[in-house]
Amino acid sequence: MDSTTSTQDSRAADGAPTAAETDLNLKLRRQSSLWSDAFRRLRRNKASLVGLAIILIFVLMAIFADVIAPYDPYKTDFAAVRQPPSVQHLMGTDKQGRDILSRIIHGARVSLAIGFASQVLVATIGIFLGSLAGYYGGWVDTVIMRVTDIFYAFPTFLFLIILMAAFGRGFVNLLFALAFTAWVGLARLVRGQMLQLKQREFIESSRSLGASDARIIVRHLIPNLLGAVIVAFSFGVPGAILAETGLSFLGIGLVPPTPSWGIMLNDGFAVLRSYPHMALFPGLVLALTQLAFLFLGDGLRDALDPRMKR
Amino acid sequence: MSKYIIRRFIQSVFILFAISVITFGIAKATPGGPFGFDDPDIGARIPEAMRKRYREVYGLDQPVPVQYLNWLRAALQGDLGVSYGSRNQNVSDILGRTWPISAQLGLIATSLALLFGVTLGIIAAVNHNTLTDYLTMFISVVGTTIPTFVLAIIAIVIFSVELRWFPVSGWGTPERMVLPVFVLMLGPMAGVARYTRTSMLEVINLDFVRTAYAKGLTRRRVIIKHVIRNALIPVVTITGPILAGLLTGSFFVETMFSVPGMGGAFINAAANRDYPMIMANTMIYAALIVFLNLAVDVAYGIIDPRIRYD
Repeated sequence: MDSTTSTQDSRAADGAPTAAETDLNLKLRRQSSLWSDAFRRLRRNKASLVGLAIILIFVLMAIFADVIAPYDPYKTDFAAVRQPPSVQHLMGTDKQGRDILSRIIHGARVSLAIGFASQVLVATIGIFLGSLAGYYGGWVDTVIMRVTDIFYAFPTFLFLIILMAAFGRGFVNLLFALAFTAWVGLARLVRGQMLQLKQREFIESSRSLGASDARIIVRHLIPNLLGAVIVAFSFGVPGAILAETGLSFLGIGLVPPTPSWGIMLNDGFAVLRSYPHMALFPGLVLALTQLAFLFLGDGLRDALDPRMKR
Repeated sequence: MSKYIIRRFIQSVFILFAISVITFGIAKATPGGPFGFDDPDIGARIPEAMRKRYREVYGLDQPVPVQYLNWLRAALQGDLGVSYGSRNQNVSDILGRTWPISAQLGLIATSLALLFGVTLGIIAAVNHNTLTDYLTMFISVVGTTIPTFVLAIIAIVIFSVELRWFPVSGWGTPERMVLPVFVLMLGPMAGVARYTRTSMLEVINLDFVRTAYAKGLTRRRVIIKHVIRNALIPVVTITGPILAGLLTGSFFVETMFSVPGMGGAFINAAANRDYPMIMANTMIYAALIVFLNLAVDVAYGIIDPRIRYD
C-alpha cells in the first residue's frame, strides 16, 4: 500500500501497472519535474542569476572570512584610527583603528547567520502551525488564525523594538525575536495552500487507500507547497538581515564589538560629517545584499510558482 | 455594508485590546525595571526606602494584572500617565508635542509618494518596453531595495556635507524638511510606481479600452478618460498601509535627522523601560494601522461598486 500511495497517482491504485506503463510514467514525470522545470525558468532570468551570484559571493565570504579578511576584525590599532581608504586599508579604519573591510567580511557571516537561522525557525513554526490550521480546520484553525490576526496588526518593527528592549541585546534574543514576529505571514501562506491542496484528487485517493493524516501531510501536502515556502524564505532572509542591521543601528540589536553592519553604521553615523567612509561602505554593502536577494526572490517566484505571476 | 463595518470595527477593538495585553505583559515579564534600579552602577546606591516609595507612587508594588487594569482604566479616560523618562511631564503632553510633527512628516511624505509614484507608473506604462519604461523601473527597484537608513546616510553625505544644500538636522523650516521627506518618501514612491504600472498594463488590454479606440477617441483621451481612472482603483488599497507605515515607521528618519517626533521618542522610551510611554506609543501606532486599513477597505467598496462585502 505504501508503494502505491507514494506515486501520487490515483490510477496506480487500480492494479499493478505494466512495465511499459511504469516506464512511460517515469519518463513523463522526469520531463515535468518541478525542480528541473523551475531551474530552467530561473536560468532564463538574467537579473536573478546576477542576484544569485552576488549571494554566493557573500556566502563564500562568510565561510572563508578568516582566510579572506586582511586583518583581524577585532584587532584595534590606536595609531591608525578613522583613516580614510588607503592601500593598507582599502575601506579605511574605524574609531578604534579596526580594518573596515575585514569587519564587513566578517559581518557577512553575522548577517547571513541571522538571516538563514531566523528563516529556518520561521519556516518550522510557520509550516507546523499553517498545516495544522489548514488541514484540520475547525477550532484549531480558528484559534491559530485569530492569533495571526493579532500578530498581523502589530507593526513588526515596533514589536521587534519592544522585544529587544525588554529581553536585551544579543544574537540569541534577536534570533528568537525575529522568528517570533515573522512566522505569521508564512503560517497564513501555508494554510491557504493547504486548503486548496487538500481538495485535490490525489489527496482524496491517498486517504481512501488508508494513509494516515501525518503521512498525507508530510508525504503529499508539504512537498507540494515547498515551492511557495522557498519563495517566502528567499524574501524572508533579506528582511531579517535588514531588521538585524536596523536594530543594531539603533543600538538594540547585537552587542559591540560584534562585526555587524548595523553596529558599524551606528559607529559611522555618529561621525558622518567628518568620516563618511565609516558609514558609507557598510551601508552600500547592505544595499547590495538587499538588491541581490530581491532579484533572486523575484526570479524564484516566477520560476517556482508560474500561476502567481504579477 | 454597515454590518460589515460594524463587524470589522468590533474585531479591530478586540485586536487592539490583545496588543495592549501582549505589550504590557512583555514589558513587565522581563528582568530590569525603570529608574535605573537594576543598573549595576546606580542601583546599588539607591536606598531601600526610596525604592519602596517609588514603587508605591508608580503602582509598581501591585500584581501585574492589577497594574494592567489600572493602566487600562486610566487610559480609557484619557490619562496616559507620567513619563518615567522625564518625570515632570505627562505622556499626553509629550505626545501632544511630538505627534503633530510625525503626522506632518508622514502626511507630506505620503502625498508626495503617491503623486510621484502614480506619475512615474503612468509614464512607464504608457511607454511600455521603451527606455523610459526601463529607466523608471530601474529607479523604482533602487528605491525599493535601498534601506531607509542607508538612503539617509547617502543623502546626508551628498546634499548636506558635500553640496551643502540642506541642513543635516531639525524640523520646522522648509529647507530642513526636504531631506527627511525625500528619504522617507522614496521607498513607498517606488512601490506605488511599480503597482500603478502593473495595474495600467492590465487595464490597457481590456475590451472596453479597445471599444474606446474603436469609437475614434485619441490615444490621449483613452488613456486619461478610461485607462487611468480604472487603473488607479487598486492603487487605493495600498495607500492605507503606506500612510500607516509612514506615520509609524519613521523611527530611522526621525532619529537620524533629529526630527523631534514620536519615532525618536519611542526609541528612547523603549531603551529606558519607560512603560507609560511604550504603552501609549504602541497603542497609537497599532490603532492607526488597524483603523487606516479598515478605512481603506471601506473606501475601496465605495469607489468600486463591483466590490461587495457580505
